[in-house]
Amino acid sequence: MNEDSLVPVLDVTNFSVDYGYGDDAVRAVSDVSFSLGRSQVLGVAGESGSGKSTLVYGLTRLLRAPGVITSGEVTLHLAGERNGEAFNVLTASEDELRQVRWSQVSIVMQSALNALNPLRRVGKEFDEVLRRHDRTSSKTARQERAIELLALVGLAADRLQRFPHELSGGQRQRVMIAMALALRPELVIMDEPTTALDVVTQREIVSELYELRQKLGFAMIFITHDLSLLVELADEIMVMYAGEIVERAPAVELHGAPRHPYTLGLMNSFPPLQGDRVRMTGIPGSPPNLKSPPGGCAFHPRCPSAHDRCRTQAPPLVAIEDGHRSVACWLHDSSSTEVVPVSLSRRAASRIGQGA
Amino acid sequence: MRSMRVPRSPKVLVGLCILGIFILLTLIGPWIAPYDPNDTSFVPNLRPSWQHLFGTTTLGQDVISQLLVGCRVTMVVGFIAGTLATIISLVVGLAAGYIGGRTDEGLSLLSNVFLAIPGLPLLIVINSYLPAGEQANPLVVGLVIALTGWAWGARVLRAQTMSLRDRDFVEAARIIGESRWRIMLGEIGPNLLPIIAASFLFTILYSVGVYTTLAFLGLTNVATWNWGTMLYWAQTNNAALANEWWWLAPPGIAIALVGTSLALINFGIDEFINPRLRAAGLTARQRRRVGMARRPRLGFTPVQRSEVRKKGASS
Repeated sequence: MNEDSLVPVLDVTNFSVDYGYGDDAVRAVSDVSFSLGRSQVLGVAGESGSGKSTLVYGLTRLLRAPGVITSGEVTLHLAGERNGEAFNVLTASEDELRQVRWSQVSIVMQSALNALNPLRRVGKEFDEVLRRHDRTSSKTARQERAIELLALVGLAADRLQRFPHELSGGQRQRVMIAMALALRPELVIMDEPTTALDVVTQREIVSELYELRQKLGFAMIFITHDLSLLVELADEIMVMYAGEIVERAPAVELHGAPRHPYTLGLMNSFPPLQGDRVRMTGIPGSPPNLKSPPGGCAFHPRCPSAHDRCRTQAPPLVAIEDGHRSVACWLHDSSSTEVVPVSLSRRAASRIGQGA
Repeated sequence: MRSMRVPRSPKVLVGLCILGIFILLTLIGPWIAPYDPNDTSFVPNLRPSWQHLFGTTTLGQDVISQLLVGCRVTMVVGFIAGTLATIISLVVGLAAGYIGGRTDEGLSLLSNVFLAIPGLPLLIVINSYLPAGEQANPLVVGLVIALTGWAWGARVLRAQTMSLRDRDFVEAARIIGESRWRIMLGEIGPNLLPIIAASFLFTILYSVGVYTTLAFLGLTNVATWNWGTMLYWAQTNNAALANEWWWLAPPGIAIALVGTSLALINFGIDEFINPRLRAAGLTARQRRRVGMARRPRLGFTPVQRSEVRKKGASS
C-alpha cells in the first residue's frame, strides 16, 4: 500500500491460548505470530472452532475464564497522544489496559447489537463515551461528533433520539461500529460483525467499512468464515485451522492461488457468483478435537494431498515465493518430492485477475 | 446428562461434614444419649467431667443427654419447615411469575401480606391456638413455621421466573406448544435450581432459628426436649447469672454450627449447578497448583507462562 503499512500497529509473537487449567487444559490457539501494519486490513478466516475469535479475544485480553494466555508477546504501537509508545498488552495492569481500550483499540463483537442498553437513547451512549474521553468538551460539540459518527456509518442524525428497540439489527450493528470508531482508535477488531445480518446489509456494512478505513486510516482485524467477503475488504488474509495459522497471503493472491489444501477447500465451499455452475465440494470430515489433536499436521485426516510426512511431522509456517506469503504445508517444502496438485501450485497463479 | 461430581471446594466439604454429623445425631441421638434427659437424680450444677461431658443443670439433669435428644426435634422441624416453605414458595413464585395477570396480582398480594406481617408475633398467635398436644408435634409446628417463612423465597423465584419467561428457549417451547406445566417444570424449573437450593438452605436455617425462639419463649411444649427448651430452662433457672456456661453454650453452639454448615454449603451450590461456573470455577488451591496469582476476571484474561506453570507444578 504505502510506507505507513510498514510501521506496525500490532506485533504478535508465539501467542498461545489454553482453555482450562493444569491437566484439563486444551490448546485453542497455538504459537501464532503475525504483525499488522498501520491502516492495513487483516482478514482472519477459518471454520467454527478454528481459534479465530479466541485469538483476537486473547490479544485484547477479553477472553473469559477458563481462557488463559500461555505464551507469547503482544505489542501494541500506540498513536495519538502516546505516539510511538510500545504497549505490552500481556504485562499491562487493568488500569493501563483500560486507558488503551477504545481509544487505541476497539472491538465490535458478533452480537454487539445486544450490548446497547434498552433503556437509553442511542445519543446518550455516544455522549457518555465522548464525555468520559474529554471532560472539557461541550454538549453541542459532543452531539455534533455523534452525528458525524452516525453519518460515517450511513445513519441519519435523528437516530440519536431513538431507543435500541426502534432500530433494526443492521442499524444497531452500525451504531456499534460508529461507537467503536468514536475515539479514533488505531486498531479496530471486527469479530464477525455481519454474521447476524442478512447478506444485503452485510454487503453494505462491509463496503462502508472499506470506505471508512480509506478515510480514517485505522488498521483492522476482520474475522469471518466467509472468504469471499474478506477478499474484497482485506489487504492480507490469514487462514486458521485447529488454532494455528496455516496460510497467510495478500488477499488477491490467496483467493486467486491458494497454496494450502485447507484454503482451497474453504474457497471451494462458496459458490462463485459468475461462471459455470459447478458442484460444490467443501471439505470432508470435521475439525479435529483439540483435546486429542491428530499427530503431525492437524489437517492431514481431511487433506486430499496428505502423505506420510504429514502424519508424523507438523509443518512449520514458512515464507514462500520471495517471502511475501507463507504457508504451513509440506507440499511446499523445498525438500519435498511430492507432486504439488495443479490447483495449489505456482502455475495456478495465472488465475489471479480472474478470481478477483 | 449432568454428571454429579464431588465438590472440591473446602468450604462446601466442611459444611457438608458438619451437617452430616448433625443429621447423624438426629438419627441416632436419642440412642447414644448416656442418660435420660428428664432424670433429675444427678448432683446439680456439675462442671463438665468424664461422667457428665457437658456437666449437669441446676435441676440435676445431664446436659449432653438433653442436647442429643433435643437434636432430633430441632432438626426435624427445621427440615420439615424448610421443605414445606420451599414447596409453597416454588409453587407461588412459578405460578405468579409465569402465568402473570390476575394470578400474579393475587399471589403477589398474598406474599406481600406475609412479608409485611412480622413473622414471630404471627407464629405466637397461631401457636397459642394449637391444642396443647399439637404444640409438640414437629409436623404441625413445621407447617406453622413454613406458613410464615415462604414469602421471601416466593418473591425471589417470581422475579427470576419473570426474567426467564421471555428468554428465547422458553418462547421457543411455548411456540412449539409445550404445556404450561412442562415449561414451568422442565424449562424454567431447572434454571431456578440455584435459587431454590439457596432458599431451601436458608429457610431451614430460619426454621431452626424460629423454632428455637418459640421454644425459648416457652411457647412450645416445654416438657419436650429441643435446643430451644434447653435454653428456656437455662434462662428460667438463671444459668447466665450463675455463670453456668456449660448449660447455655452447647445448644447455642449447636444452632450456630448448623447455621454455619448450611451457609457453607450454599457457597458451593451455584458452582455445582451452573455448568458454566463449573467449568470456570477454580478454588484458591487449584489456582495455586497451576500457579495462577489471581482469580480470572472479565476483561482481564490471565497470562500464564508455561515456565511458570512448570515451576508451579513441581513445587
